[in-house]
Amino acid sequence: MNILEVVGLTKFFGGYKAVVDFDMIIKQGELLGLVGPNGAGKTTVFNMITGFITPTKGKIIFKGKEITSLKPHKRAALGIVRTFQNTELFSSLTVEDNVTLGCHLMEKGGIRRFFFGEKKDEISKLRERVNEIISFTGLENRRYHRASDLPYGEQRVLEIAIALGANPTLLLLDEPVAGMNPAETKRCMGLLHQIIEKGTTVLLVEHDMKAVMNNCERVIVMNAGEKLAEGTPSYIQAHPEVIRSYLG
Amino acid sequence: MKLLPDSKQPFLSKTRIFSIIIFLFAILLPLVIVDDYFRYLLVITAINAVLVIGLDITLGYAGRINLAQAGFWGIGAYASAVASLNWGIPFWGGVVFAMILSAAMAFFIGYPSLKLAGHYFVIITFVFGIILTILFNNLLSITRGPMGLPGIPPVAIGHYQIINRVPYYYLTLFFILLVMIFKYKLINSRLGRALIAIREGEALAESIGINTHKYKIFAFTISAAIAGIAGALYAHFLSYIGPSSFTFEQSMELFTMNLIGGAGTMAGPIIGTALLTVFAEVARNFSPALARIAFGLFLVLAIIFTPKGIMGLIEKVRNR
Repeated sequence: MNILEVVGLTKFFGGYKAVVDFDMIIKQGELLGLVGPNGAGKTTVFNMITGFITPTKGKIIFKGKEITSLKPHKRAALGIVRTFQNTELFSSLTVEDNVTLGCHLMEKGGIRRFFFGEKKDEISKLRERVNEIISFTGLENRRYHRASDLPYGEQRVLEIAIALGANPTLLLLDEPVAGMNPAETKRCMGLLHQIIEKGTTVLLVEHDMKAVMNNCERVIVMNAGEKLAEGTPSYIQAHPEVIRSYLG
Repeated sequence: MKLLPDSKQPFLSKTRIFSIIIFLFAILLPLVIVDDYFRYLLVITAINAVLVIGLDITLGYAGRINLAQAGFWGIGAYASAVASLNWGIPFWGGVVFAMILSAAMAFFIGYPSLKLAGHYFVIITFVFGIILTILFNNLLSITRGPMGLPGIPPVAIGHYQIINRVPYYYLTLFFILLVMIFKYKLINSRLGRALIAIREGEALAESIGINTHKYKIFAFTISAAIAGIAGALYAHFLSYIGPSSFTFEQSMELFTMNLIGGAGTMAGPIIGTALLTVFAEVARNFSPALARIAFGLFLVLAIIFTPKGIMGLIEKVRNR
């Protein structure tokens, strides 16, 4: 089953054609890699899927519903959650607070809760969820550390933990392992596989070919705003166009 | 402060006991301050405190600089003054009218401008504050322009009229208490947590499903509604209002008070207001220009050395 379909997606920034007529399908439960050299339009595609940029042309269909003009927070409520290329955290808050804020969508509002507080079982549900995410991502011993004090690798993991709070069905990660050392990369990829085992679909946008080739089931290669190739990692690695433009 | 709510909170937590002590202290203040002028100052400080507590919801929680707070204060003051002078509506109705009018203006301005990035919003509130001052000066049929509105009747509770300063101080203190309780509820609710998320990282907040535009409008509108309360209190206290009170300079002073006391805290706005209102009065007796310069200097020093204000300093010492 297709969880997300992108049809004829196009984005012009003034005269610059960032993405041209891009088609993509993401299947339920897969780990799809989107790779390409700098300026290929990966992040633009990513931003259009999550609603941070409106496309010039084209359609985005999520679970059979068109979402092309929805705002990012509405898409998050539907289950499309992202991380950012330049690590975005609630940096002056603790890890626990970061994850708590990430769980915004499971909290209920309303006047009664405002004045008399949340119900006890709602509070304990929220606490349970926060605890679960913190232990799942292995940030237990960092719980009361400020996000900005964490080492870089753990900051990126925390970013994923915040996203998990929104309970995504489609998780989009923008270069999550960029700048990580091999041990951190391994840990992060292990976490991704665990997330997929739980039934979440993941789109991984990466600059680093190696991480994608080793972990993704399917890979799409972009170049100059267009799709260059699509297939299994071994197919991609043997593709003459890809080798010429990218792997060199 | 921890954001994750706890279901097993003791009824008398440290913060609660501390707040009650501070409040009792505030009740006893007029016993110590007997001089009539200082009692006047006490009421003005209390009214300023209402303004800054309100401002803090936009500045300290939503993380947006709002330079129109004095303008909303003016809207509230004129609204309740006109309501009582022209339509004979008593203070209690006037407060509600002032809140609604200030909030409606904030919604009207905030809806389009809060779609913009932070610094554009600052410019819009700055310009809007100035436009309001011009309107107060020129809408002669409503505000009587620079002549102002005299003869605003005092607040009445039943047959008792609050004319003296001490009871008026208690009236204002009552509103401070209401506003503080409201703010406490706010920051411990889903809405408050969403505002903190927006302050800490707006794009991230949006990406995890927080309707940032809606919540920013909420914060801005609530700030303005609270300024409306302060406006009604001010009008009925002085019994005269004129456009010279509700200027951009006043907005800037409120901003400084909030920042120096500590934005995004419960006690900060009160500490900042108390210190700076008294300082401003004392300094003005020497030289009004010097007071302005000192305010600017404090603001710069606070931003450089203690961005979280006096409350930030206290927290630092506590954590040592």
